[in-house]
Amino acid sequence: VKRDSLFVLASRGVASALTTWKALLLALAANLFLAYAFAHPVNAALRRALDRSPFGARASAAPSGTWRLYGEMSRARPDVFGDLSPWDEIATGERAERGPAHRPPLAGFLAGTGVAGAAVGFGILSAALAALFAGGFAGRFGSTEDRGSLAAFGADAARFAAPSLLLGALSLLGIAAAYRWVFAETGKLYEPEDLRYEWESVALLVLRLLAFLLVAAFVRVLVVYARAAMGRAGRGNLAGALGASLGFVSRRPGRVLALEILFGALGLVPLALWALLGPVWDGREAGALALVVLGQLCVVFLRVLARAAYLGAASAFLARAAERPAPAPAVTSESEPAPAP
Amino acid sequence: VTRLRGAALPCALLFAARLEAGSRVPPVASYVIEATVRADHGLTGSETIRFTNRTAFAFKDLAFHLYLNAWRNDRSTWLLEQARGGGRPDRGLVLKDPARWGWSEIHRLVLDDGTDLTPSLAYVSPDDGNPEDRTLVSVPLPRPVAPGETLVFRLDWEARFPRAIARTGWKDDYLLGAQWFPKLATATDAGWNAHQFHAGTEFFADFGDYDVTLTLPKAYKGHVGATGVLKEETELAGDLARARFLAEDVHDFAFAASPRFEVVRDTFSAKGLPNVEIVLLLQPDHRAIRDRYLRATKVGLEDYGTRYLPYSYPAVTVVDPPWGSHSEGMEYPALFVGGGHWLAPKKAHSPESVTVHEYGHQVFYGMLASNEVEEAHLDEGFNTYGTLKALASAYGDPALVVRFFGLPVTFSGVSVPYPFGTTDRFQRWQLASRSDAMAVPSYRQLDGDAIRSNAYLRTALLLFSCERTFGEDVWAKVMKTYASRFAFKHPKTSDFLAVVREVAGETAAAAVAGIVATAGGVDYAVTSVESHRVRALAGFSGEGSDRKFAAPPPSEAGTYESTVVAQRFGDAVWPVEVVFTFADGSTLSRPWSGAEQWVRWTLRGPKLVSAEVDPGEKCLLDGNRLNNGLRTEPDARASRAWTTRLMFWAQNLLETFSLLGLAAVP
Repeated sequence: VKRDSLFVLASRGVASALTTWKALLLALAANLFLAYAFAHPVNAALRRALDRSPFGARASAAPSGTWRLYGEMSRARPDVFGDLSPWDEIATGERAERGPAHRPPLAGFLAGTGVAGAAVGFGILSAALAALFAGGFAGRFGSTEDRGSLAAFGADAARFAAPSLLLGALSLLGIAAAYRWVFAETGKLYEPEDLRYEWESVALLVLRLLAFLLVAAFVRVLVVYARAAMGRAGRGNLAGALGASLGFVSRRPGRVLALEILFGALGLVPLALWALLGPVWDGREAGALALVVLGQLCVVFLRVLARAAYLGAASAFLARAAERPAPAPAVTSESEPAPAP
Repeated sequence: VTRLRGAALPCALLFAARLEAGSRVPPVASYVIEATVRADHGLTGSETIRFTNRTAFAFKDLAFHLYLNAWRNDRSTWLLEQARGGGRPDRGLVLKDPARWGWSEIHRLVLDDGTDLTPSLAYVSPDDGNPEDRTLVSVPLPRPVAPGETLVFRLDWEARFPRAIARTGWKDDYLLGAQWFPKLATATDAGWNAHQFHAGTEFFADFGDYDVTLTLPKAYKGHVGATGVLKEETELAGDLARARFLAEDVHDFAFAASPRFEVVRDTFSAKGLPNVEIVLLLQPDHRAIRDRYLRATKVGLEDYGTRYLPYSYPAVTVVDPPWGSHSEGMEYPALFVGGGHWLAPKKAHSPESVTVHEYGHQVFYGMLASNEVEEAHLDEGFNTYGTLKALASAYGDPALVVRFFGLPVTFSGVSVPYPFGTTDRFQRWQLASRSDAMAVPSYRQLDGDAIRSNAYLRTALLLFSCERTFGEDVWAKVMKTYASRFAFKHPKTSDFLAVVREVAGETAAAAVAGIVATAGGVDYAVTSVESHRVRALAGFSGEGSDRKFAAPPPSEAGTYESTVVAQRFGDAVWPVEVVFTFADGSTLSRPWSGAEQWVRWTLRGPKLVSAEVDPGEKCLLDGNRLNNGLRTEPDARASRAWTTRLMFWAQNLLETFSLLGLAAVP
């Protein structure tokens, strides 16, 4: 097995991430805290609506209960959810049928209310917090000592706070721009309904999505390797880290993209498995509730671990590349004898 | 002018082929049409119309619909209304491309005695006074057509089909010829029922017989379907083909043509119902859903045939429209347009739902020819009710299917049950527009939400509520009586109410009439529940020397006194029952007419656990189920179950922001 094979890099990433288990738990706690604050208005509204209503018990026993409850809640308390159509549009790629014909892409996000509006703020807050954590992880993965130390993690997070936040902002802007120009604007180049077959329209839509995801993946890759480079250098030199990342990524775009996809999939697998197979608490036994909550926390923890492991793998990849001897300079083994005068 | 009474008809030869004409309904407006459709979607045609005045009104003029003029320019009433409703009026119509707009012009109108009425033709706009609208044209007659008289006249016209919009026109080599010929308005005892073409409403016409000969480019030969039966199809010189269709006892004629149609034929047969030939005109990329189309058509034929009215024609043509044609889901006599996706998960019930629905219009529109412009609920609402019943019976409940970037994903665990799946959609429409009662003529309602809400789901849910409240058997009898009594007639809401009163009784009729008459919603709520132990008397009793004081100690055992208050928050009234549940598991039910603004019940017995209005959800029009009941003690188990799930998804959503790249780690 090559020392810089995907399997080895991924394993080293996971191993590195596990050494920072205290920081991982801290990240999980931060996620939990933010999620609690984010979901609190809905949770409170649910309790107010259901705790004294017989409808709740009946709906929770019906196979269509979630669907019906969402319908009732969103109608009775439209303030709780707000207008979710911009999010729906992003998630499904379908423009609202009755929306204004020329509404710009991503319009309506910042003006949202309820959950729809709060998701923007909490998303940015979550990303900013994650950027701070990323500085800490990058510092620990770049160091060979005290990887498990929470104090050292905190010190690194503080040291790399500014450049890491800037990298996060660059990443956000890069991906938003890619969505706008690679996905949304290309949709204006053709009228889907003028195509002869539906599959042609779907194919073009999927191609545009893949193009956007490819650009977004490279933006992410650049940021990840810039963070890893910062951690290895021990300095918060943003320009230098970005330069190093750009050089590294441009020399091996296929490998870094493969690693990005691998960890992206690793992050999604626990969620997909839970969504398909995970138990749902039926509201009866408190013991079962504890198990369900524990299982849910494990899923989120695995996703946090996957993301930290990605940075660990990137750091290991940089380290492995640095270990390799520089290619030998070209030498001429023989020289032609000078022609006789 | 030739006016003939009785059976002496100057056009008898043209209709000699008919054997059954008039057997279902005496013809009022019959057409002989010859039209040539060019490859550029232009059309020239001539038609001979035989109008028999079977009303008590003497007609001094004629009125024609020129529906294709709705897309003549952006000042038409149709396009103005579409824009006002928040829709996209420009869909399909590209401003700079004249080939995408449509129009229709009458070049010549002569009576069969040679009197030329063409100079007197005038566009009229009785509904909104829009001088730019050319969808209705009127012409005075030299002499009125008296009751019982017949008037025959010939009309030459030219038209262009638009890029398909609102279920008519072309896309590539597909053509749906709907509302394509100058069509006589509907004769009533009050004169012509003649409205302009409106964005939110459909059509209304008299029954008659159609003999239509279409000349098309040769590529279409063998790939044309239409209202009625194909009598002959021939090739002509100049790369043309001709197809002749005959249809009897219908009130419209539509056709569909595309060289890419794959023609599939099947036969429906079921005990007690007439055999029907099914002609499916299928898109080549939809072969995978061919059998689903056929089965759904048979489901419609059997279910509607059993519950309401057997199909009355020898054949039905099912058109599978191409992608992006804006012609999905539309009904015409003996022909309807379905609609399906290239990828169509079975649990989505598509194309099944649209196929059954559009077939259902063969009953509620085709044979019960109500006025779709003024009382759209009589066809759309009744048919939506029929569709949901047929689908539930044949297919069970669908699952939630979401299309992600055009690719369908089935959430098998999330059921969207009939008819509750439609309740939510209705309530949202109703929240968006509570402007008009169903009794308001459809074309005059405030906006698209009002029309859709009233025409489709308000009516369908009203009928479901009737079925659940007054009994399934009773309601089945109401629907069957209505359908059979008004087949091949033009029923009105008042006719239906009379049937309800006759079959289901005055209470049911009053409830239905109340909903029809109000724009408001139904919303019942339990606003207060209390349950206290009944103690022995505390304080003084008796008088004088018999006056005694008592201070009974609290007791664990005993009877409870419970007080419940229910209120009506909605404007609409529906008879409901209120169910009280007690701690010993027993329940008590009390009927409530629902008319009072509030009612208070005081009950003695075991401790009350909860009180709920309409727990069986018999009234599907109730806009807020969350407030229908109250518990005496809170129970957080249901909310906790959902908040647990919600927290999980909130955590993952925030985590996903990282996945999308906002930052590298968590």
